[in-house]
Amino acid sequence: MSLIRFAGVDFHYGPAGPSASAILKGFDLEIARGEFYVLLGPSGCGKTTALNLLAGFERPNAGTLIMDGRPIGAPGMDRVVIFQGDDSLYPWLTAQENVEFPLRMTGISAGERRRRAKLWLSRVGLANHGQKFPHQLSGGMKQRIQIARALVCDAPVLLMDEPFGALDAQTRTILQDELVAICSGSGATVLFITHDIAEAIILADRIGVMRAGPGSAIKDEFALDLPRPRNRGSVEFAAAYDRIQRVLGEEVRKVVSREAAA
Amino acid sequence: MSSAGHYLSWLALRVLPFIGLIFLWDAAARAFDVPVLFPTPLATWDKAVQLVGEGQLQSDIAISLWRIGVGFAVGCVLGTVLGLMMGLSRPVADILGPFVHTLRFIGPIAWISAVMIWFGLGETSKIVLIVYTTTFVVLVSAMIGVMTIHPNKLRAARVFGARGWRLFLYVTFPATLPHILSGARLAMMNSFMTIIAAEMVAAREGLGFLIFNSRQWMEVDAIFVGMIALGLLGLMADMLMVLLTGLLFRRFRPLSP
Repeated sequence: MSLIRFAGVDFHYGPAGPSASAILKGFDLEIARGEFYVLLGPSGCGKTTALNLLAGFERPNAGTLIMDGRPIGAPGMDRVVIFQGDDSLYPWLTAQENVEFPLRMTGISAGERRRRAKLWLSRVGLANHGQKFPHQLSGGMKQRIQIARALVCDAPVLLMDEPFGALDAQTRTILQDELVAICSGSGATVLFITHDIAEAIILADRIGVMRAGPGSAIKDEFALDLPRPRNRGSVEFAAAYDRIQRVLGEEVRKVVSREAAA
Repeated sequence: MSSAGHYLSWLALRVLPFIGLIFLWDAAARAFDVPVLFPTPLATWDKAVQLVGEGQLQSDIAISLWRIGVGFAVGCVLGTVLGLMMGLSRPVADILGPFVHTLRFIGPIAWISAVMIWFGLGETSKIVLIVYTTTFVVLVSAMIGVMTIHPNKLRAARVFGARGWRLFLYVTFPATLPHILSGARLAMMNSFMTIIAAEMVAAREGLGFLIFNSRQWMEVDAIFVGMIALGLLGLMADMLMVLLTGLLFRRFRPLSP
């Protein structure tokens, strides 16, 4: 049985009516417990909207959205978000204090907070940077703080909204590999959003490709049962890339030609 | 370059233009050649020494600073509270917005007449004007600070279970603090401008009174002493604020030159 289920979800901004431009229309998605699911799609197709609905930042206009048998409510620590960019970090807190933040809100004792934050900082390779402030760290290190801050919560579900989108290619590759190492065997269920096919293949158990909007939904799904860690140069990688590129490329071309016409 | 060399060039950049300005002033005063109307730096210095000797300069400075200090402190608290409320609550912003945005264009100087009639020549009238001028600058900064917090900061906090006053205390307020501090710094400058205007019209002591009253006796040297004292006090107040915010609020990264 799936842990997360979107069934016939519609979402649009503003009041309903014929003029309302739908972001998602009849959006269906099922994610199994422990699965790493990557949502791929052309920019502006509504990937982030799907994640925001699951996080509880937005409410669907129609359809059902269920996690663990219960409808999705307000945001909570059972589904922690890793945001794109570093705006969600608190610049007045050190790396260590940022990672402690969720535990502090939960009312965990100072000693236990410190111990758990230190553990996660060292797991993401920031053991020696705990006392630094975010502005003293590189973009990649700031995303490591975010990853540590999310994982310290021991959440059953992780929602990642293009967390490596703003990083340079080399840093991104390193963080992808580290994320695979951290997540494999953790039992966490992940919804990961990206528009980078290679990133999707490195990380995913299953990939859903979304249609170009408006009124987007998932067009096609690909199951990847390649062993991890995956080799970016392998024949299987290239074959998967090619299959997905054909589906995604068609949607991206729609967006590009629409933009050109406008 | 060595650190001593750095220090020397720093000193040269700060001090030499200042000495140059004094010489320029001296040359201009000599060229003008009517010492009563345009005193030289030396004559101004002598006047300052005389005013200090009589105890007048110190007491004028003390009374002006006291008025600014009290009014500024009250205005900062008032502006912060109102600005945070307007930034946090749409209805409050809708109700207070039109008043705030109208009143802040009715400058403190426009209020002097009415405030004098209501509060007389005592301390209250001056302090009220300083409170008034400080409040609006800090208010607008605090409000903008709240409204420009990146939504992801608040969303992350909600994910981690921060609601209500904890969300305010742990995220909203610290995120707004740099804006409040730079608002306060601007408000300090406004306070210095306001106190002079208020003391010129409605006071019997203070730096503004010294500057304005000296006109009656054609004491341009005393006017210069008052103006220079004002500038130096403002500079010191600003430096003190930068120093204090740097010491107390370093982690909030206040904006400073």
